Amino acid sequence: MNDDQETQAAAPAENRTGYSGPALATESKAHSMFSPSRIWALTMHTFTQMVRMRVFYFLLFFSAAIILVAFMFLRFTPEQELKLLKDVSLGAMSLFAGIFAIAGTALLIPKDLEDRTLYTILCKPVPRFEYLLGKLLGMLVLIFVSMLFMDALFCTVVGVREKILVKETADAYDQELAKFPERGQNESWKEQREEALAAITNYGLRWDLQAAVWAIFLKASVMTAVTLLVSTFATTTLFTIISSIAVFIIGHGQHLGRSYFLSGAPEGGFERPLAGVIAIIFPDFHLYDIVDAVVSGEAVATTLLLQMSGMTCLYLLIYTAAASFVFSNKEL
Amino acid sequence: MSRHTRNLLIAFVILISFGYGRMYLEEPMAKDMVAKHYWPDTMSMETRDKVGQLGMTAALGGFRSLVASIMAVQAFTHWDAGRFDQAIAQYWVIVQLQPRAFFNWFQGMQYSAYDKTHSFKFPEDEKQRADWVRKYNEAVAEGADFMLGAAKYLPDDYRIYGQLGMLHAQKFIPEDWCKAAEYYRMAAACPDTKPYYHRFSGYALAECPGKEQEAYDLLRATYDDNIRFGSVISYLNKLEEKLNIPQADRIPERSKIK
Repeated sequence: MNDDQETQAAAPAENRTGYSGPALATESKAHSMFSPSRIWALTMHTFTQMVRMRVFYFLLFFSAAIILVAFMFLRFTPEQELKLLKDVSLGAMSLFAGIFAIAGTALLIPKDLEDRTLYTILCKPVPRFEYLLGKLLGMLVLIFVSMLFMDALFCTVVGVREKILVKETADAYDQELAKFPERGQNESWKEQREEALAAITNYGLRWDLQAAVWAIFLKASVMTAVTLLVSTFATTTLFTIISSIAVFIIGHGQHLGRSYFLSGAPEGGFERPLAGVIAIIFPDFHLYDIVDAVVSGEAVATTLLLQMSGMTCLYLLIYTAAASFVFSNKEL
Repeated sequence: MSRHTRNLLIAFVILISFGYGRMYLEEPMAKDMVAKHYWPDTMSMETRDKVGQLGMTAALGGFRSLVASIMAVQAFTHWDAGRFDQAIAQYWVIVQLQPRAFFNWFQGMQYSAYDKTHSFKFPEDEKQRADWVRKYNEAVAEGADFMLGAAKYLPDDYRIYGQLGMLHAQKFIPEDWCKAAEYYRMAAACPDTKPYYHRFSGYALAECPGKEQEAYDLLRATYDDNIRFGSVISYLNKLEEKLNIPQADRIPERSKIK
């Protein structure tokens, strides 16, 4: 490069091109290291990619399962029917959200590599952590939308079934009253009637059910972040899926290791350090297990939900940061 | 050291530091959740229960309720076919899966103390009666075991003690009125209880030898509170006779129930 060329390269653009008007938008906008709009574009791309893989077909199975459960067991008591319906629906939600979180996320990076989309994205000035963040958020949006559908269907079916059961029970008592009018004067009989109706309402549609649905979503979110982290260093999709399932299972027993480690019990060989390692490495999924309590009629405190949500944000932040470090210089 | 290896190390350090730090956030949260009854308190359990609970938690992950429901349907199928022993065995597992769901304990009790006992044919031959009573009482006792198991997880649930009272008052042969009275009294002392357990306790006490005065005081207080059901009046009439209560202190009503 001679002196003239050097001077020209260092000179402002307008001097080089001869353009002296207002600065062009493309040139004035400096490339930022973090762009929410880029992340949003990647998020929506991931969401669309998954939708095109026909993942929402599972909703048909979910609908069939809960409608079947809602109207099949006609010889159960009303409380038993509603409990069964809630158990199965929330269990199915948990199962589908877990499958999405593990299988869907495990497929993300290999699919982008196979379609060559990954190279198209990363050859542009898109930082790798933005790519990962976009993928993570895309999966979270997908899980959230699926859960919205499932929740709406679940609430509708529980609400309808509850109304039918309340009406049937009230009718049964009314028929008894018509047959034995003297029972209308019997306080115990009246109390029994009120108790039966209250029991159905207690097992029916309540706001606390939404807390259980939210906890399922949060657990699936952590699982998504874990799977994304594993997929950044995994060599095959199968490895990612199996490892993530293992983390999921161990994560439900992690609290045992943690309690033992923190209990201060005298060290017995390698047991306590091993418990500590398990507690440190694996996330605690047991913290999200409130479904049983909610189905049994326990009220869920708002502070607990806030704590749970805060913990989830922390998990997402840390696991995504770790995944970014692993992925940042990975040969693709 | 290559940049990739260095980054892997950084990621590892981040995870370990976070893992260590979060233990101190998660442990108090978990303890709080046990205190608020979202999970059973495994620390206060007997070893057998503890192993069962912890094993279930770890093995089934977040799908305990789903598995419990599937098992409840299987138990229902056994019950429908008259296979009560299998149905009851299923319920002993179900209650380990969802120990804080009263309904599961109640259902196990129903299958054992009511449905199974009704399936025993009353023997015509008097020699076989003793064996029949033994089998019958064993089934009722297993039903009571369900309720006693529930009491460990739900100590404040009036329904448990109410059901135990009913088993001792109506199902065991012969009835144990003193125990029934004690359980009804416990049911009446629970929060959000039903008012009738108080007077049920009085009825059972009236049948318990040596507790007649206590029964009279309790039922008289009930009567004075303007709760004057037929059974209250009937028992008071009987107790007034038995305790030789002066005519002036007796209630004016005479029950038609003998």
